[in-house]
Amino acid sequence: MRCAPKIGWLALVWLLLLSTELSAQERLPVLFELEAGIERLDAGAVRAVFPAGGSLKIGAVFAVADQGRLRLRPNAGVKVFFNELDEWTTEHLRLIRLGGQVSYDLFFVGQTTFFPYVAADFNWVANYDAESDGGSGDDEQISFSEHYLRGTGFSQEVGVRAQYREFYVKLGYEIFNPRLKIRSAIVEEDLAAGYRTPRSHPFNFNTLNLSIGVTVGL
Amino acid sequence: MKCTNQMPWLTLLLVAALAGCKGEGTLLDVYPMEPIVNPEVRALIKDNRIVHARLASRNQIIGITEKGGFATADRFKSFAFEPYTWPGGQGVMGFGNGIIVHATAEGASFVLRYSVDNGATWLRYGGTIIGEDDLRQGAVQVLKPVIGVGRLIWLLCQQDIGQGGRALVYRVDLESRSAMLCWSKADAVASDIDFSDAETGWLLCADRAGRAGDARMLKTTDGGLTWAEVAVLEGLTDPSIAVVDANQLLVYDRAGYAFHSADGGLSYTPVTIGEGMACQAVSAQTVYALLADGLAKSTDGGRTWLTLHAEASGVYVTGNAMHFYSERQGIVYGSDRLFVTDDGGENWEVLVYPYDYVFE
Repeated sequence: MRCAPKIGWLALVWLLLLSTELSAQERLPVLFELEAGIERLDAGAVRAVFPAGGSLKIGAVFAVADQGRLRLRPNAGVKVFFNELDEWTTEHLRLIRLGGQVSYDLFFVGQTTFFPYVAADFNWVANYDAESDGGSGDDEQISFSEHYLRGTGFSQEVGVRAQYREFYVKLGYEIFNPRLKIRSAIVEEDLAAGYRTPRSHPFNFNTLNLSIGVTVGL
Repeated sequence: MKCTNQMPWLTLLLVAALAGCKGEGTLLDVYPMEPIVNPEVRALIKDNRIVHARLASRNQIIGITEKGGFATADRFKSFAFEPYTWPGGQGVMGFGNGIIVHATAEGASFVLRYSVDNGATWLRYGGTIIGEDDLRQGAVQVLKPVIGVGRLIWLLCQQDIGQGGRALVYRVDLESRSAMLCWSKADAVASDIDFSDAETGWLLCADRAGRAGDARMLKTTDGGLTWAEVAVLEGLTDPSIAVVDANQLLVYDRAGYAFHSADGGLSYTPVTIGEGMACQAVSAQTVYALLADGLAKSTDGGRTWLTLHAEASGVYVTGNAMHFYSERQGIVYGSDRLFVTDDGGENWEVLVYPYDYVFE
């Protein structure tokens, strides 16, 4: 099962190379996509901390093989989960990601086209607090704590998207189990308090996500 | 393109909705951490204190607290605690050869109790130790009991006689319930006594009228029946003896002055160990010293010493007593802490410590 992500990445790289090759031969239809979504963590322990999160993704779409039905999308994005600790302090779990998505125009019903997709991303994960000074609007100053946990890792996602004209809705499930390192100072503090804390720990950040997006021709 | 303009608004709406998410705890709460010591050890140190402990085998630690005895075979992952009433904090205690001896003052004399079951039950020595003629001279207090094999006990005592006093050694045989005064020295202040075996022992005392810091070393080779002065040591305050073997011994005081003898106490060489020590010889080569701020170790019978960086899980190894089961395995403990080493003091593990969660 561990080779599945590698195969996904290889397929993605191959398709991206294919698109490059094609672009040398003919002008590719290039589109631009922007999507925003809500995320729900699958594991109960982490979902109790972060009941929900949001995501943003942006990328250029290349319609390639099979009369443009195969679509490749290198993309960048961010995913943030929030946990309101008190009136001024919110804990964040932030994932900055770079990766790609492959989708295929499989069938349509009326004016709605259905695209199954697979995606893979490399993620930079950070967990920290954001503290507001209590101001509002433009006067509000937000300061960020040092990272409590941080790490990196690959994620894979499968799902389906339904496109109506330039708008689409995506429903997907992402598998992401990064090993996060804890800040050394926390380990030292725990030790002084009589607790033994490992330097790193794997987390289950698998998510179910629902996004809405827009496709724009360039 | 018109619809694209609506996306930031949708996003903002989404973020605004999510920002109100209130979870339970923080992600760090999900991060694993385990208590270094078993919180159940609170039974030993909460409103209680460790009085004595020893490493009885590789993993078995047996000890006594003021409120009962304890035993563990798995380094306090689990342990048995048997509550019982401690005879009291007064007086002096001695441990060895499976016997605990407790001597407390009673009038001008003292009461000697002993336990052979780790303090669960106590027996009172019923025989007469101090003769009536001796008692008339003044009150006698026990300074140190030394427990030999065969339930033989030597009691180093001090007797106040008017402005002066004398040092005494009693030999008590618990088996035959007999006792005898085997040595006394007028105008002397006793410091310490120790034996290498049932026959050979050393005793330190000072003359009341003598020069401050002078300590007289006496030796017996007949189980304490006769004593002969073998040396006078200078510059020591209330010194102690640590017997390494029949020929080697260490004499030291809490200020850090120490001497080593390799000829049965006849001659001495100054050695540097550290302040506030208590020494235990595990073999003829390996000797440990518990210092005010850590430990020192000698592997040549006490001639040269190496200070150990004794730390366990970020805590410095400190205590007021130690017990080494072998050259490599031993414990250091205090009233509220206990550490163990398996590699001759290089690495330590904390088994009992007054962390906050232990008291919660």
